[in-house]
This record gives sequence, C-alpha cells and structure tokens, in this order.
Amino acid sequence: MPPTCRWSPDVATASLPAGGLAALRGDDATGGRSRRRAGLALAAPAAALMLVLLFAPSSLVLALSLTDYQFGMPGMAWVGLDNYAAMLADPNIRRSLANTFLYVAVVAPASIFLALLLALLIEAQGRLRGLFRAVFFLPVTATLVAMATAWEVLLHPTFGLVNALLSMLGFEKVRFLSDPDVALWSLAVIGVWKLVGYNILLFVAGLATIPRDLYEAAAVDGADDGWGRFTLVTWPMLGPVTLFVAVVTLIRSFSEFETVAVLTLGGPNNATAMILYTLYEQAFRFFDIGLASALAVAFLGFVAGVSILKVWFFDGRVHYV
Amino acid sequence: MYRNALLAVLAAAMPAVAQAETDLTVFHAWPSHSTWQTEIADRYTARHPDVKITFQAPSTDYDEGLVSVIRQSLSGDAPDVFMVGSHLLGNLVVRDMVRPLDDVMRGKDMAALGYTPEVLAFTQVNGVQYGLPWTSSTPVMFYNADLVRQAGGDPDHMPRTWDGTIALAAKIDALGGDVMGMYYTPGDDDWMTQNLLASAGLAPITEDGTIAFDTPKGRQAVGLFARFHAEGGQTAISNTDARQQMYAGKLGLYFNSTAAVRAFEREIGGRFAWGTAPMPTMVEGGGVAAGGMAAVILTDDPEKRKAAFDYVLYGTGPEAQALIVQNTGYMPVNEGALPLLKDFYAEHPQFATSAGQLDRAFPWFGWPGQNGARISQIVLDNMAAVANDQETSDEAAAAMTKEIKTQLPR
Repeated sequence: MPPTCRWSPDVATASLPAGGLAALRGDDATGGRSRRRAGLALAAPAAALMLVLLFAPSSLVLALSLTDYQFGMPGMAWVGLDNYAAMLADPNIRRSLANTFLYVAVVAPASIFLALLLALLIEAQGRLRGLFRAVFFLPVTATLVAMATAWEVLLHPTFGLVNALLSMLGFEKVRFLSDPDVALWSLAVIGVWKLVGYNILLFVAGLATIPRDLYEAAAVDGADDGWGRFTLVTWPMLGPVTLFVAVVTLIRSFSEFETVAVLTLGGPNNATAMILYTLYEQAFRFFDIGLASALAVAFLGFVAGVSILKVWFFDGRVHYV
Repeated sequence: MYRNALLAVLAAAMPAVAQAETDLTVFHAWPSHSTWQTEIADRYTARHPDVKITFQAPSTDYDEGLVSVIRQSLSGDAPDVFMVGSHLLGNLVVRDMVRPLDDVMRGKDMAALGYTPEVLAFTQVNGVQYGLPWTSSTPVMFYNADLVRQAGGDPDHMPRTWDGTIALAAKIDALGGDVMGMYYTPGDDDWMTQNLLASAGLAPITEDGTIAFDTPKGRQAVGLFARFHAEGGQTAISNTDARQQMYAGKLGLYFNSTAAVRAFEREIGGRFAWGTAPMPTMVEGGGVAAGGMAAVILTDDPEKRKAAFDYVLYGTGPEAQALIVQNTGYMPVNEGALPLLKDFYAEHPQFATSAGQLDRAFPWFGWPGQNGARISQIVLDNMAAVANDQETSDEAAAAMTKEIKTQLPR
C-alpha cells in the first residue's frame, strides 16, 4: 500500500526542524500536510468500509475458528488450533479439500483455454459472430439453479438425452450424478460450461484492443501464418486479459457451490463435496461454527494467496500496452 | 368527574382491545404446504376473530427452518408457533428455546380430545411434552400395478416380507427394457434407514443402549439395502431420478414416506394403475419408522402461549387433520379425524395404508445430544457406500457404529 510510506508519524515531524524535513522531502511542510490530510480524507470512506465490511468480519471469523462455538448455544470455549487439527484429521473434510483442488485443476485451465480458442474462432468468423457470442454467453446470464435442473434432466440415468445418445451409439448408460467415480467429472463439465462464456467475453474484448498494425508489422517480419501471428502478437498482447481471466477463474472455480447444492448435495458418499459446500454443511446443518470458521479461514487464505501471487509475481511479467 | 368517565370508558374498552390483539406468528417448512397451512389458519380465525395469525415465509426444508428459528431467537424475535421436523426437536430443547407445554396443558383431558398416549409420546423429549405432532407419516411401498402383474405378482396381495418383496422386484427387473425392479430411497437423513431397522424390530438405539448397527439383526437390516441393489434390481440413482422413473411407468416398487402419495396422484393421474401397500418386514412383528413435524410454542408470554396452544389444538384436531390428510397423504394424528375421513379413504385407498400401519409404528426418534444432523449424514454416507459397492453391508454397519459412537454424548 503506497500511502503508508508517504506519511510519517507526527512525533517524527515535530522532532525535526521544519525546514530540514521540507528539504528532505523536497516540498513545503504545510502544503505537504494539507495534501496528506486531503489524501486521508479521500481514502477514509473506502478504508472505513473495508474495515467494517472486510476486516471486521474476517477477524471475527478468525476468532471464532479458535473457539468451539455451536450455533445458538449459550456459551463457547477457547480451543486454540483444535478446529484446524480436526479439519485436517477429518477424512470427509480432507476428501472435500482434495475434490476442490482436483475440480480447480481441471475446470480452471479447461475453461481458460477453451474460452481463448473459442474467442479466436468467433472473432475469425464473419457474419455469425454476434450469434456465437450470445450463445456462449447465455450460461452466464441464466440462473444457475434453474440451469442445474435442466442439467439434471439431460443427465438422467435412464432417459436423459445424453444417455439416450450413448445407448444409441452402443455405449453403456452412465449414472452421471450418482456414480461416485463420475459425479465430480460431471460437475466439472458443468463448471466449464458455466465459466467459459464469461471468459470468452473477456478474451473477445481483449482481442479487440490489439492494434491492427502490429499484425502488419509481424507479417513484414515474416510471421504471416496463423500460428506465427498468434505466438508473436495475439498471445503476448492478451497477457493482461489472460492474467485477469486466470485469477477470476481460479477463484470462481474454487468457490463452486450451487451445482453441488442443487445437483448432488456433496454425495454420493462425499464424492462431490467441495470446500464451500462442506463449510455450509458444517455451519448450517451441523451448527459447528468453530470448524466452519476454520474452513472459511482456509478458503480466505487460498483466495488471498492467489491474489497476492498475481500482484507480486505476475503483474511485473505481463506486458501492458 | 371527567377522570372517572374516562376511566369507565377505558375499562369498557380494555377487554375488547386485549381480545383483538392476540397476534400469533407461525413458521413452517416446505413452501408447498402453505396452501393448507393457510387454510387451517383461515378456518381458525374465522371462528376466533380476536386472533390474528401471520405466517412467515416458509423455509425450503426442515434444516433451513431450524437455522432460521435459531437466528431469530438469537435476536429475540422467534415466531410464536413453529413446526419443527420431528428429528430436530432435540435441537430446540438443548438450546433452551422451547418450554414444556405443562402450563397450557394443565387441566386438559388430552385423551378425550383424541390424542392417544402413543401420539403424545411422539413429541416428548425424555418424557417431557414439548409440542404436539402437527403431521405424522410412515413410509409405505408404492407399486406400479401393471408391472407387478406382468411379473406374475398380485397387486391386491403384495408381499409382506422383504424376502418376498425382493423376489418380486427381481422378476419386475427381469422384464427388461428400461424397467427397474425397485427403488428404496435412502432419503435426506437417516429416517429411511431407521425404517429398515424398524422392520427388523429395532430402534436405532436398543433398550440396553446398544447402537442397533452393532447387533446381528441391525447388520442384517443394513444388508437388506445391499440386497435391494444386488438382487432387487435397484440402481444407485438419486431420489429425484427414481421418482421420474416411477412417473414414467418404468419402476416397479418405490419406497418412501406416505407424504409422497399426493404427488403420485397428481403426476401419474390415470396413466397406469398404481397403489400403496404396507411396508414389508424383515422379522415377524417388525415395525415401521414414524416421523413428521411437531408444533412447538416458542413465545414466553403466558397470554400468547394460551392462544397459541388453542391454535395448535385446533390444527391437531379432527377437522384440520382431515384437511391435512386429504391435501398431503400424511396420516391423522387425532383419532377424531378417522370418522371424517371414512369416505375419503374409501375413494382413495392409497392414502389409507399409512394410517393402517400406526399400530406398528415406532416412536419418533432423535439421536441424543446435539450431533443428530451429523449422525444422519454418517448414516447417509455409509448407505451410499453400500449402494455403490464401496463397502459391504457389514463394513458399513461397523463403520456407522464406530462413527456414531464418537458423536453421542459420553
């Protein structure tokens, strides 16, 4: 945060001769102070909101994760890191975490690269461009709960459209949402379907900002085939967009909840339990607020981790126009 | 002089004001129930214009209803009357959110009002009356009569034992096509598994305090669920999928709460012949699980408690119960409703099966302590593992015993 290094404590200011400090900073002391005041006043509302809406609840969750609070029960006790130990020891929660990472590892890359590919194809298409954009963007605008019901019908184990197709082609029918070996993959496909439209839109916007003359320049330099244009111009120029898409997609796939809650309830036998659903279950079915808070802290940690990684590591390496 | 006149006017107005201002807030689960819940309230207030009944928006299920009531009670504005899922009643008691009905029940002859001791016991926790059963149900067998006949069975004499039932299901399954022999729903909690235990004559915790899964008969009851899949043709699909399969005429036998009977009537209509039959048993004299929702009074205000209890008595009385039965398929909790339902039952025999099982219904069961929901999930997970061949039934019974022990109060 840049503002923190700009203003020094008043004690320090007072103990130094005004002229010396002004000389050090290279500006007039009173002018600097009023600028600082104005800066603070401008930053204060946002900072206050962040404090109230973000830091206070997060700290409360952090504190609750160190207690054995049960929802609605009169008392609670300090239990230190017990909830975190319980979280790591509970095979169901470990399963849920493993499911989440597997889901993210499949859904995030698939929905990013598929979106990139589709965006390139759509932009290369002439007349039907608008139609394709709308079709792929549709899942983003539709209510997922309603869409999940549609998926349920499509994936019905006996007369779902997909199974009808499979048996027509001579394959065995698949219990897409109730076979423990398949259910998570089914959710992953739905997850990709859900995320890809949004990502396409961002990539399409990114493609539109690439100056045409760069392609001409590349062609002069000999990169006149599709692959050459892509590696030399398109891909590097899409860097900032890709980075943004990657971060958003990672966080969104990590927070998958609706499909689990509507389609599988984490079952069969925890095959599709993921971190947010497990958190919800612990808090609002089992009333174990302590454990749920520990899960929430882990979740926050991951999301914060991805964001920090983005800022510190990747921002410097991406080429911004 | 003026003062006296004013006082006289006030004194005359007081009772009227007090009467007109009994305001009751009622909260129940399941949005689809609001039609008949409202109907009961309307009929009651028509006779008691001094009472005003306001409904909170119904919760989507029992769990969410409980969460909402706990939250409201933390902020001090819980509803006055709440219909709590039978298995969750203990959660209210352990949180001190509900007081026994002793104060309002004093002097009432409950037997004369149509409540049998068995029915009253449904809503007792450790022998203390915390509410009255508002609805009650037992699971029954639904069958597709056409498929049963094609497989050589007789819809009017459905098998009464699990062995006979599984054999019939196997024959239906052998009809081929997309036909599935049977589907015994694992449910949303451990109630349907409790029912398997009941069919073996066991409560989830036996009289000597053993967890039923830790007994030979309990293991055999879990084994039934494995046999449904191995022999009866059940595939491990979701309950929603199975219901669609039933409505499509492609499922022979379906086992679930009698509360589904109304939906069956609506969805199947006259497309094929179907009916309900008593739940089969594993042992001679085996029973069925019972459950439902309990009406509890959460307010502490003595006047409101009195009014609320009067409303609960009406809702659990003959007239309102007859209305509930016809609208849902639940069975009446009040004996006085049976004469009112005679004609209806004659016309709709599918609705009567559950009431006919009342004499062998087990008491409503809630796991002691505050981990009931967690235990339900343990049972569900292990039953799913049995259905999907991840565990044998004996392994599942052992795992459930071990895991449940860690969740019960020491």
